[in-house]
Amino acid sequence: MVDIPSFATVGNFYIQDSGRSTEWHYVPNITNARFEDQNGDNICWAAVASFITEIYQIPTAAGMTQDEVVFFHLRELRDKAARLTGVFFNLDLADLLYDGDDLSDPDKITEMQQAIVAGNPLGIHISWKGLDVGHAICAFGTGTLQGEPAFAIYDPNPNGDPDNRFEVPISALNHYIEGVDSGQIGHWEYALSCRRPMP
Amino acid sequence: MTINHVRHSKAARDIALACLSERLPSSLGHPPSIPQGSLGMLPVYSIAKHRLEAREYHKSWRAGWRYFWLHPDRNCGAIVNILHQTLKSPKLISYSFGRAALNLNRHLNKAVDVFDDDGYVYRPRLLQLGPVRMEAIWLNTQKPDEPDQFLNLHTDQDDDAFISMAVRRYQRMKESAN
Repeated sequence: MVDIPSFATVGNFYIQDSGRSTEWHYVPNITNARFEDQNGDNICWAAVASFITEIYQIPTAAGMTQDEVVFFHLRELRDKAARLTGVFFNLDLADLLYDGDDLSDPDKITEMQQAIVAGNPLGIHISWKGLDVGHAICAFGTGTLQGEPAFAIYDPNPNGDPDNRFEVPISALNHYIEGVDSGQIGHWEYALSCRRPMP
Repeated sequence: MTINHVRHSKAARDIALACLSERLPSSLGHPPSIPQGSLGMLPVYSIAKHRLEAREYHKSWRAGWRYFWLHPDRNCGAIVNILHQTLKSPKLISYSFGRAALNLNRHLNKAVDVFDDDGYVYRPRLLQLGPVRMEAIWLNTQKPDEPDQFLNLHTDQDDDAFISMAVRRYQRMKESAN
């Protein structure tokens, strides 16, 4: 094993089960899911939609690749930004929309968690104040971290992380990643709870 | 040694240790022999787009801390990200288990190999550019006439290539949004 360079070493950590770990629930079919990198700078939305069509087993769009999602939504193959609302509408996926205020409503958070436990992933749009851009991620599991409600997140572009998945306290989705200027942090703009399209 | 030791935040470290205690046993599948592992940390910084383009690195700000734990035997580890909040306590941002900690440590060792004896005194940091989703090991010299060094965590690019790529990505992002 490679050692941590001394300048960054904090010490050893002895693993002791704190007894605080709680049960986590995931949507079905997650075990064999491909947590892919997004294929372009601007098509996080296609990666998230592709991920959902894979784990959600949508009869009309099962296992669409990112390119297939891009072509389906844009009618051309192009590395272009899009919002999850439009993509999910075209795929007939969106059910309930949760805006930023819902992050401070315990009932809404419970509702989102229950939807995931019931097998419905949650597409989330992160945006940065001061920039006309955002980032799409997907909650595919739920549990608690340090006593707080938390999501298991698929992020198709977490630079430097080859696994593309995290556990995040839901309240931290208002501080998801640092932004363009001090204090302008990437925050939850809205989320879409999935439902299966009508056959 | 010309790379200075990282400076601690006790509050951030306490959060990271509590999170690891909570999640690592589950991530490791409750092995019969509970291992210990090495714990490292890098302070996380961010910088505004126009400051980055002008290479005004002294205008960056502290965004948080990244703690990482390496399994002593297996090729895996864990990462805990903590947010720095002005006039507030640090906040847990995320926990992950897998290969990311190894990737981070590999780049830290590369930084030692490449820059440790080049005559400059560096402050080790992690530069995070959220909107363009880029991160690099950042060796900061503190002096404007001395070169800062960057090691891209994703592509293994170094030096000015990381900054140039970030500027290009900001530009493409703006064109795409339009």
